[in-house]
Amino acid sequence: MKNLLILFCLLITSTLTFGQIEKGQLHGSFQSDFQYYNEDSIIGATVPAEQIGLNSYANFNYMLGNFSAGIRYEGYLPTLNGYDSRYDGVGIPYKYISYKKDELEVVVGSFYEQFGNGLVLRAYEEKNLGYDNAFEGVKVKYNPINGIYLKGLISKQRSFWEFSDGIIRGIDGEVSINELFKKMDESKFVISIGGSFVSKFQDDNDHPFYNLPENVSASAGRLNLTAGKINFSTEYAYKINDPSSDNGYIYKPGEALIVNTSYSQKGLGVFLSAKRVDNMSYRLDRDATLANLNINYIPDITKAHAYSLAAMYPYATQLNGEFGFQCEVNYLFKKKSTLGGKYGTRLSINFSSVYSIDKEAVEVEDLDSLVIGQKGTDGYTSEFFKIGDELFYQDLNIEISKKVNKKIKGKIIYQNQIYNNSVIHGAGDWHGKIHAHIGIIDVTYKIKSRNTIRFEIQELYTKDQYGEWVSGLIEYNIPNWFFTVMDQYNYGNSDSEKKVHYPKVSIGYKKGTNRIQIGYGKQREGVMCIGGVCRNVPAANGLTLSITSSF
Amino acid sequence: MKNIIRLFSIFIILSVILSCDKINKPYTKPVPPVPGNQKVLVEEFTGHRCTNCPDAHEQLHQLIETYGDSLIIPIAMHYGFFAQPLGSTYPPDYKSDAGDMLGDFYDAENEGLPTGMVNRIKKGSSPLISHDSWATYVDSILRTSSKINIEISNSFNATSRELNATIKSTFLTDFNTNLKLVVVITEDSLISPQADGANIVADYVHMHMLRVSITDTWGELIVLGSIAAEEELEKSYTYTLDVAWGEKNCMIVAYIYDETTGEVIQAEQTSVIE
Repeated sequence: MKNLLILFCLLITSTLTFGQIEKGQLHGSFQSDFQYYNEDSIIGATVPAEQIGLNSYANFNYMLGNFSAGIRYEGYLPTLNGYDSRYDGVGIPYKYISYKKDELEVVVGSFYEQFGNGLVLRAYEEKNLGYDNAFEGVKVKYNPINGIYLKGLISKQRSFWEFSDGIIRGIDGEVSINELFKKMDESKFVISIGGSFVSKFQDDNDHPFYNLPENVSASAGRLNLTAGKINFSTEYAYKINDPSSDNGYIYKPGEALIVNTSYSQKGLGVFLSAKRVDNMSYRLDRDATLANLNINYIPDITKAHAYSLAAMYPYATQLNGEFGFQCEVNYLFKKKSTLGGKYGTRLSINFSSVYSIDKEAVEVEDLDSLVIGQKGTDGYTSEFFKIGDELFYQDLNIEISKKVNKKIKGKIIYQNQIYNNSVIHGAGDWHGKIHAHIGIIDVTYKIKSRNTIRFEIQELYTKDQYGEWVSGLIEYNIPNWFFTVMDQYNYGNSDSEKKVHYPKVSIGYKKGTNRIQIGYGKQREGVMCIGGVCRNVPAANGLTLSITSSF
Repeated sequence: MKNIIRLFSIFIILSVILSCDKINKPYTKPVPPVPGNQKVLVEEFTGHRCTNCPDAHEQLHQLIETYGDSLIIPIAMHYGFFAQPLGSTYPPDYKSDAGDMLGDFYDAENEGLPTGMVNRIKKGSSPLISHDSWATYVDSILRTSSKINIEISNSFNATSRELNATIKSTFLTDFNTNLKLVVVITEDSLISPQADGANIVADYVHMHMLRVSITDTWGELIVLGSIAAEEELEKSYTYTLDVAWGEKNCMIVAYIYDETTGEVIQAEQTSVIE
């Protein structure tokens, strides 16, 4: 990899030298999040030995004609509270060089990639979640004729500051019928089909108990159809035997199916989707845990919430089996109608529901009985279209957005949520389902041009787990500056010592692409569970400083 | 151009042909006998509020069933957030000073529970290993030749609850490193609630629970620099057992590790009461 870095530097140097011949472009971005910690016995916040945390990232991408190269510096000195401390350290874990010649594009080094919806392969990074499963190897894209797109890759995968022992191989092809056949070029029917094949290799390390597959493949087929205002897309994925920590070392093949349908016209949008997932965890290390070394990604089928109390109980896809549905209707009441008023009114209703899948026990010879999920067996059988009995998650969300007059606009949201804490959260802090009602009012008042004040009030009503919460926020914006004051209060906690306020204040300055934000406040404790492992994210109290910039 | 297409086609076909290992039944295989003189220390970080920890307990149980309780030396350290007492749901506090120190040192809370160590052999930069990987390490270690033999002799006074333990170490090969001896007490068969998946098992039997480290948590230095093969060392310790501990279920666990690598070389255990 050092050679790649040297080559990157040479590229830039050579362009500076011969800059008159062909000018290259250098783009970059920088993000640094700093926190100084205070002890807070009320919320259980402690101070690490270093007293501070710092996550920093800097991207530099250089382009010269058909060539491009880039690096990303990362520094965790040490890792911020809530992030995996295995990132502690500094270095340049991401670096690549690529070029494109006619129909062929080659990338060597680090890269991200997604096949279809990601059911069998998706590498991506989300720094704010501490997630990065970049590939490290060779990727080729080839476009032999118009309408046919091929990709191939062979790589290792990032695991904090190291790379996986295993290797991933993958190919993907997509055919755009409309591009391929000239007669279809003008058609209102838009059709594309695609397919992926991925295989991972990991040594079985002479496992003493099990005959393990060293090469595990997963394949997927997809279809996308658009006919005027209607869109239909689907993808089905199949994975062969892949005993792992995630599935409890069972040998049953995995499957996933996603179906999305939408209809849209001016003022109306309807979206329907369904998803079935069965044993589809797919990692480059069969014993990897938490967010480490995931090869694939199963998209969520529930609404992602932006407001803090609405997002207090977020759903996480259950890779070992789930059957989910989602329906969303967006409607615009026209201007000057009874419900639309002077500026129109937007109504959005979203409903999602996720259940377990049917699982039937299989015979286990040693035990001479029928068992579900016994290690070293097929685990279970499952009827594809049979929904299981257990509700994992249900969410009804009704949102009305309206501009009242030139000065005032706002949103009112009601949410009804059922969250199966035992299954989704997986931590032994509270057992059972949490039934919550959430109400949100968000009002923005425009004092004058580029000078606004926003008020946000949220309440979460439940008798379960921590009980009721209320949250308030005031945000004041003037050109280049913003000021925020907020508080979350767990007033309904049955433990009087835990009826705690979580206040936060922050001031931000932004000019062009530079942004600096300073804040002070408290962050509540939480537990993160992925697969069969849970990690506690401790409470924090302290001063934060964030700087972002790009050029 | 045709060459590129051909190459790409060959790549695709090879990938498809070479990249699938369909395993036929039986999925399991018999475990060949192991020599029996090398033992292995399996330390797990666990907690009664950890819903997935029973899977790790089951894994440890399977190892003991497979290789025998004389070869597998288990220690269960109840550690961190998931070991905190919680009202009447999870009342007992099974944490220990030694377990807390080791958990903090190896950053087990960050790694997530359940997790554990097999002779503290490092995988990458950390000895923490997912419980499903323990078997591979255990089997590999048990097939090596023992470099140290540990014998524990002990006596227990039921009235004063005083325990006397003598650890005799016989070195079977030359060592040119610092070696440390750790002696701890574990307790079996404590019955109290344990989270297990979506359920709470009210009468869960907790095993191999670390109670105390009789030596310093990081042990006592017994070899400074080097020691020759066939030499013997004896160390004696006295400790008064807590009245809350059931002496009949208590074990003395002794292990020797290399101070430089941190890896455990040999371990042994015996009951407080024969």
